[in-house]
Amino acid sequence: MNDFENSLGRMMVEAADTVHTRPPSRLLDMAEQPLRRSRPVYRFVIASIAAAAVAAVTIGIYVSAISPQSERVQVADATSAGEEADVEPSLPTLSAYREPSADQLELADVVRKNWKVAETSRVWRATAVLADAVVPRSNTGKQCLSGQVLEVTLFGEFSDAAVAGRIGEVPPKITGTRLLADARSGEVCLVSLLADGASESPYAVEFWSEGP
Amino acid sequence: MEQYEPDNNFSQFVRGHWAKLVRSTVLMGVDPHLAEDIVQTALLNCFNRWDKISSLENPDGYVFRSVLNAVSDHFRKKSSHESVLLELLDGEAADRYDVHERDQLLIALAKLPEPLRAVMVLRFYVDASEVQTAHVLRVPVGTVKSRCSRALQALRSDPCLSDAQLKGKES
Repeated sequence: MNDFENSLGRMMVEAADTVHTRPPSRLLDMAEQPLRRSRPVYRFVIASIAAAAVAAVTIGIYVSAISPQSERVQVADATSAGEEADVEPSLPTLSAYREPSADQLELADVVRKNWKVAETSRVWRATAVLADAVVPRSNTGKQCLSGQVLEVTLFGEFSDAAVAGRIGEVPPKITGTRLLADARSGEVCLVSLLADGASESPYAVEFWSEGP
Repeated sequence: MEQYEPDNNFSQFVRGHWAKLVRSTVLMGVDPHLAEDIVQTALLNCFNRWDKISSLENPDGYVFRSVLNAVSDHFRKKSSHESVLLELLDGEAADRYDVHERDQLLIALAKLPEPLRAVMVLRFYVDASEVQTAHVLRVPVGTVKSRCSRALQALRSDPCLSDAQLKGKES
């Protein structure tokens, strides 16, 4: 290897080492727990049921696709202002996430209080995480240009309607709203809705939760 | 129902390889949160076939290939996200907001086509040989060499790396 390749390798290792991660306990627990597996006959029955379900869904999609009455459902009431928003979470940075300071958590709480959710929605938990990012484009009309953003995630039940874009698919359940706010001004510059199973940063700090 | 013993072998593998797999995925251009999700999903799939995988000559290579396949799937589905990442931290924004060296390297890597990026990560981060890289990617060794050469050429001329420490280290 020449100098360039050596330097590149060193830089890649240094860059990668800034990502702090550890295996999720659920994965390790699963591997360490005694595992119950079904006998082959049960596996065959389960596989048959799964195949039948897939066939039924496929036929359902085909029928709904050729039906003249079929309609595409649009994202509706996606934000508190009734605007459309992306269903998938926006991920604006390549930088490592880290825990916010006490002041930044206070700002995150202000962001939470100022964000109006629909009356039919309910928030019971809020977390925040800090990241290096610049968001010159946004879906709220604001920009986050200080170089740092607070990712405030509101977890709860949201009445927002969303689809993945295919006719016949069951709409995903919206379980969270993610607000990307400038870490200095607190202006919200990007709003995303989180569907089932959205992940949470290991550095996210819970700063508010609904009382008992 | 049959009762099986805990698969300590798998949990040891996860403990030993988790960080490297996640970091490799980040170097492939995936956000750290998503990288963890992708690696976890790939490992879960491997866990279901761990009896077979662990008996392979090179289980690491198999798992790595699973993760790289998952990364490819992710980029196929989320191609719009990838462009957003580049827009946010590339060019003017990077200059104005002093995006540090690591991001410059990640941006330069992200500009490479995915197969070239995979070769770079395997060769220079995982420190795999050309033969091992070829085995993981299921391509001939000659292809690994040509991809590596093209990737290095692209990185040498990348403006994101022009002012970075890399050039200083080179001299």
